[in-house]
Amino acid sequence: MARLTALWVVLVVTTGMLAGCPKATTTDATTKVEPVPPTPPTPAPEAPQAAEMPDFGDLKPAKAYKIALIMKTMSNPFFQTMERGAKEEAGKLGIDLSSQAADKETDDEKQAGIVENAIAQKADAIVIAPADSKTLIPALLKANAADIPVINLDNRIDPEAAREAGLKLVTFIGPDNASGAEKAAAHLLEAMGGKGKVAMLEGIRGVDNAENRKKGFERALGGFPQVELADSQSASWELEQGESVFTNMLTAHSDITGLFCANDMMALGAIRAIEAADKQGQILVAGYDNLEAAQEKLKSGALLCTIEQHPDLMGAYGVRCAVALLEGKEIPPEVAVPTDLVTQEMLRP
Amino acid sequence: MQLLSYRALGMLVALIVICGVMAALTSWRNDWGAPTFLSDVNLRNVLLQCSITTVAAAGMTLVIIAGGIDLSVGSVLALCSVALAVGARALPGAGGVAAGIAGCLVAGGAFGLLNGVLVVRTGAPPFIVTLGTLFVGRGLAYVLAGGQTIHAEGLHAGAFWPPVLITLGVIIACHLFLSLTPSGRYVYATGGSEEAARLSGVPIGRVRLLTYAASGLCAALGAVIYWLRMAAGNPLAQDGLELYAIAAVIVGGTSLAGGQGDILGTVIGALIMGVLANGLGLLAVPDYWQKIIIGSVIVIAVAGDQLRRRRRS
Repeated sequence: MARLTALWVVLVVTTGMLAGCPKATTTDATTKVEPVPPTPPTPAPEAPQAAEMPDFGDLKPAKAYKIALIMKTMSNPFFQTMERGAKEEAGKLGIDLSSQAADKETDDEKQAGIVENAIAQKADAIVIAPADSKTLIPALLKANAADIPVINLDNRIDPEAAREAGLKLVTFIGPDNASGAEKAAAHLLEAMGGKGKVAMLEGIRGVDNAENRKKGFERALGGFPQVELADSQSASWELEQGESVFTNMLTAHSDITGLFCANDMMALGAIRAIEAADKQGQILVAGYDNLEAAQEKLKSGALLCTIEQHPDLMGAYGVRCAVALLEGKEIPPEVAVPTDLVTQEMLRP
Repeated sequence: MQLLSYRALGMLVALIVICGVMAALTSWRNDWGAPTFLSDVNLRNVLLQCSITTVAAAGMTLVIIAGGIDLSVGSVLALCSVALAVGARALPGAGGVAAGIAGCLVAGGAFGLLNGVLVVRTGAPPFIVTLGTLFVGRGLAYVLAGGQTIHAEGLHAGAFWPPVLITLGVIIACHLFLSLTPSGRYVYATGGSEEAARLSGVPIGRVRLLTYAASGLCAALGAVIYWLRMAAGNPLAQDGLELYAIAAVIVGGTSLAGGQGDILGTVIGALIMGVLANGLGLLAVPDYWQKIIIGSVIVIAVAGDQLRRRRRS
């Protein structure tokens, strides 16, 4: 009898898990777990103010420097564009660029291996968009030990952990997430007529870019005292999470008239939720990233606006800064890549 | 007793050939002018880069020989890595590290035992049970870590010897266990023919339990290596490790049907995949093609083995 009961328990547990598996793992990561961490939101970046990309003048490298561009994964269009920008810049400067990525966005150990390989190959500089803001530190320390300068792109290496480990980074080149989000959110709040209820879908909490986009949103919201914040939750950057989290938000607050999503994938999910609830045209949605799929929704009017982050510029800046450094130029400790608001009117026909 | 099966010997030759090809290609296509594949630093990198897969695959070999499978190793490793990092933060200095490692090993062993108990007591297919615990383990890792990577402060990570020594220790322990102890022979008997093993008095339930616990412990040791390499506990760590571990076991000549195989074959399997990944990386072969090449090697290794076996019988 006891054995039979045990069998049932297992059956129920496993089938339940199988049914909900893809969602279960990610929800746990963010929404449900969220009260547990005693972790601070983000270590207040005591990092210096981001400067604009300096004009290094007419760079004529003394030799064909070997530069390793290391990205998270090539299955994300963001990094494909980043690679294209870096390659074009490398072609212009006549340097030798080798670009590589791990097979999965989360595979930090594989990425550490790529860093080790670049060191073994005696690269002149490493330009990296790290898969994790902390776990790449030991591998990058090896680059420090081999006197290979490291330039950090896109996802910032945790400044506190880096300082504790004694890691030296030349510069951080990244999008100004806060100001980008502020632009999109301000455009959204204005389109809402400066009144009504707004909601936000956040990225993975505790991650630098997610926190900064939230900050930008809050900054914009501060300028519209008539707008009420209905709800703000994480949907883990994901399409399906975006759909399910926003469906629940709509159930709780049927009078939401505006939604800011910290990336386009979640915005696309939320648009599905809006269509399922038959509320097309009643809720304005702002996204972030300017994905191709988002551009279609911009054309159809389902999406109000999105933010272009210029990953190609990020890649190009990375290569250019590396070469400038090797040529003995001064590099600012932080370089901001401009962001642009994209709306229906701005789309090329 | 024979150290290597003929099959494993064949794979050893294949490994040497692949190393030769990589050495030739990296010095021929020597764009970056550095001695690459066979350089001292790169050979060390190869060993470091396949250490985690090798350790997980060693535990997996025991489970597979006993007729089971363990899909949860990647998740268990993540959970253990978080347990280690949390433990190491709880106390200052060496005491914290000891507490962390103890917590990590206990978590891995306990999770492995749980897998074993579920499989043995319910008779449910191990594939399903460990698929379930794969999600449970990953979820627990997130909960314990609060969804964040936990940085190990003050750890001087990145050294060569500790991960390599752990890997060597696991290989030797598993090999001696399988080839010299009665329990090791029970593992083969259980996977070969459960009925015959039962009739001849092999405690098959306990044997299987032991293999899952060993696999969990190996995943925990993998977490220690991860911690030594990345100076962190990470709930996202090693997603998909189970597939690499199973591939290493299969390429190494262990039959998925159970009852036959050996650890040294698995080590060669892990090295073949590690050398391919490292060499293709040095050659800057795009990631898409690396997947295609490594996948093809797995299929060729297994298909070739099957064909040869059929011809012989």
